[in-house]
Amino acid sequence: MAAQTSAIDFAAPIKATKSRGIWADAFVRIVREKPMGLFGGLLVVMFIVMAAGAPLIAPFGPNELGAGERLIGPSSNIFGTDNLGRDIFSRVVYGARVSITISLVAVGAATFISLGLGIVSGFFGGWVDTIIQRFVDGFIAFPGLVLLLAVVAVFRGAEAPFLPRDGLFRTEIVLLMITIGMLLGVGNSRVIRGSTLVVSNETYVEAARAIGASNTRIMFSYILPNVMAPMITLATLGLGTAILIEASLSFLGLGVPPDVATWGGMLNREARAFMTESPWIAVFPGLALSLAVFGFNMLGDALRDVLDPRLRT
Amino acid sequence: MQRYFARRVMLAIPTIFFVMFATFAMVRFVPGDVVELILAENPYATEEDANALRKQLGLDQPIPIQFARYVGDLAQGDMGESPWTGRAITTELKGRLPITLEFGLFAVILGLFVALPVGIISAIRQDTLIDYVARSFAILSLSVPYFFTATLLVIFPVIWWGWSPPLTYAGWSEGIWDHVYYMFFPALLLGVNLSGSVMRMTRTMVLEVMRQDYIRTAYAKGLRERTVLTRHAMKNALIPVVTIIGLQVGTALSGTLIIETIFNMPGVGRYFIGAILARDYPSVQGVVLVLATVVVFVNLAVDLVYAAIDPRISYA
Repeated sequence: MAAQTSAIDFAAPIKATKSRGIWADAFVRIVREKPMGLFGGLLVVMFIVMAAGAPLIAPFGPNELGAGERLIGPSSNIFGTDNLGRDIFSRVVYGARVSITISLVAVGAATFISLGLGIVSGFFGGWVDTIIQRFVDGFIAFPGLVLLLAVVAVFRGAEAPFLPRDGLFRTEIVLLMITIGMLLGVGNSRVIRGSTLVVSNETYVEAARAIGASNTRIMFSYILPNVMAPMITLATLGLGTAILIEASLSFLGLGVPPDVATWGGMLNREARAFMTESPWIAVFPGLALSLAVFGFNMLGDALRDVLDPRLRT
Repeated sequence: MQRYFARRVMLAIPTIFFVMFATFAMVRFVPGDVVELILAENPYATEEDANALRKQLGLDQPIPIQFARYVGDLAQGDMGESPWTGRAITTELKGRLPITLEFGLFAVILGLFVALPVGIISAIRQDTLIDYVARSFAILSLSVPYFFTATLLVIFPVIWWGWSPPLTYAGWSEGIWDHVYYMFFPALLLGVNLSGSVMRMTRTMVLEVMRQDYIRTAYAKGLRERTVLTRHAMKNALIPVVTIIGLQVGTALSGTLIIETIFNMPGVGRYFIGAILARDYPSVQGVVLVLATVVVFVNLAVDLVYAAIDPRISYA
């Protein structure tokens, strides 16, 4: 991480192939050179398809009782059924929808925060930078899960009047998304700050300033597009982390409410009593969760290698 | 160096103060009336109970007085008491914190035992089979959540061999062997999870150092590989790894929260989860304060160690 502010030009390998744009180039390089990244990407696509097409793919509803006998192993119900006779495959498929939605919103918020804090801090420097960085320091020092649980403890059962009372955008879940987003975003803002410091010293920024462009214009038109490469990498890795955090909380019974099928929730305390007799109720949601996080991690790693060699850790 | 130490210690003080303020504000941020929320768990509560509780929590005073009192009580080691059990939170935590800290430390140590050798071998045998296996393992350990591996560890050995890791806590008083046997499995799970990022960092740093001129010089003057590695490479490669280990203390603490509930460990984590579920706000407040303080001090210690061991950086 110490290398963030070094003057290595991360655009260099990208300029070498002029015929394609940077994103097309990244795509081609992952397909050709990064088999694990490609595999991760395919997993990600699979889960996104699962999330989007859940009602078409799942044979039963996520909470539909009597999808089969109780606790039957993988057979006519391909992943078996749970202690209430719900179809585990269907619950896993709908679980993808919950995980992907929550992580997308959380990472959207995180991206906003990282770009805002990182660019402002890196571009203005001076006391603005000092204040923001001290805040970031304090925030990072705090153990993430403890902070999240504290927020959950305070707002459990709260209802904002402008949000729906059920579904994925009810108050509790939206708060969860935003808090996860803050957690990821503040941490990642450091990387964006580092990239901003590098970009701010480029000649094109100097040129823009010479022709009288305002600070706002420089930040939006010159810096923002040039810190998007690390941002995309961070966002991809962040999606995996967000899924993991949501699952951890739901596992503890403090995340998504129990009426929503989630991977973490399916591994939860109530299910544990039945697991030694019926291990499939734990294995399949756990596998789905691990594969999804693995997919985002592998894709993120490959993107980092391809887009931004300076970030390699 | 001494000035840096002094300044770094001074910086920790506002952080602790901020944490105190945040935990204080937390309970007062609860939407609605915290007293009513607490009493909602008890259907037989009366208005008198509510007033008594309000008085007990000190909520009947103006906010500045409440905060002054809170800080004053904290200075005397008093965190108030749980509205449910009536027991002092300080007493509750005193018994539990050592268990959690021991568990976290045990996990970090086990993780390092895995991460450092594997990371080093992976680097010096770059792009061999062993490197690929190690890197895949690192990515896996970062992707598979420990509550899933823990669940698997609790269910499958029972099905296959009729054996399961111990799920009832055995303290030191029950014999060293029983205690270590109990602690080993949860610590191993958490340790393996933590080892992933340390392994990756170790590998990267060793790779970077091995490309330096002074390593080539060391080889050129005919030193054996082992000597080059131990005397020349490791000293420099492991410095940034210290930072990662420090950052992991927060992660390890988060991990203990989850693993304690699976293995029925009577630590701070399980107490915390229980307090959240029971809306025991004073206890939640106490736990957050204590855990945050632990993390702030560990980070402080890591920074100081870092400054002491890295001769290249001068902290003027």
